[in-house]
Amino acid sequence: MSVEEEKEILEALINEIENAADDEIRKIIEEAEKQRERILRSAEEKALQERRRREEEVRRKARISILKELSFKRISFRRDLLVNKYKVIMGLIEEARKWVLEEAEKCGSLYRLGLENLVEEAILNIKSSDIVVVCNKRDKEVVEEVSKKISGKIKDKYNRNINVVVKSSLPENEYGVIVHSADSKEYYINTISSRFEYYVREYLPELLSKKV
Amino acid sequence: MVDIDFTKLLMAEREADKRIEEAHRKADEMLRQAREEAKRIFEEKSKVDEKGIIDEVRRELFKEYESFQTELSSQFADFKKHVEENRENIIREIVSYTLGVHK
Repeated sequence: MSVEEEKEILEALINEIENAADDEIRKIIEEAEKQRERILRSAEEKALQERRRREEEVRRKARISILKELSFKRISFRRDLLVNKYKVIMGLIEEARKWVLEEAEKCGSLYRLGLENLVEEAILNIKSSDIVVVCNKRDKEVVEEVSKKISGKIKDKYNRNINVVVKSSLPENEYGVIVHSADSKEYYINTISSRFEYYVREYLPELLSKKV
Repeated sequence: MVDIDFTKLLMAEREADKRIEEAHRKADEMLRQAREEAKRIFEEKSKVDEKGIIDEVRRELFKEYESFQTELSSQFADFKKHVEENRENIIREIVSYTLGVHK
């Protein structure tokens, strides 16, 4: 082998070694670059997740704190409206009460007409034949008249004989009647005040059914 | 028989090894820098604007509260209107029942 050939072989071998090294170096750098990309991408993703988690946490805590603050405001606002609603209703009730009392005090035509119905309703709710009708002193005469009329009506309509005694032991400012059996076992309270309270109590929910 | 100068070959291999080692060092340095960069990215991009979020939540909730107020005020106004429009009838009904002259 000539020196020239030997030199060529040697160069070829050296070239091969250098080429192999170049390949290796390229792979090392490429791999490092890929890894670098992965690390940075992963950091971006983790940062995004962490930011969302932190935002959610801040949002959750803020909601709790602000809702607490607002719940007092809500309760206060609702209470104020309820107070106003109560005032509206009470105004209405007081106006009705005044109207009823005026009518009862002056013994107006409505009161006199109603008194007959109240006595009849009360008597019809007592099973006993001996009945006591209690009214105030002012109404005694009217109630006696009415009671007679009703006794006759009941006899005609239900073929029932009843014996009615009228007593004027209700206070002067109490109107309507209380009817009870002579043995006091049955009672029917039909005074104006009890009817008013009952009706207002029953009617109020209907008024309140309009939400506030 | 080929008589090769192995000294040159060995030197070439040593030189190649040195370059590869250098590449490894360069790669390690790249990764070290990448990790530092990642740390910086994480810290930077995971930051939250707490005040901004709280303000936003406050705005949302106060808007809801305002709707609640509006809704309730409107219901109350309807109720009041209903009572005013029917005041006479309501009172008449209470009076009629109380006096026993209702139909």
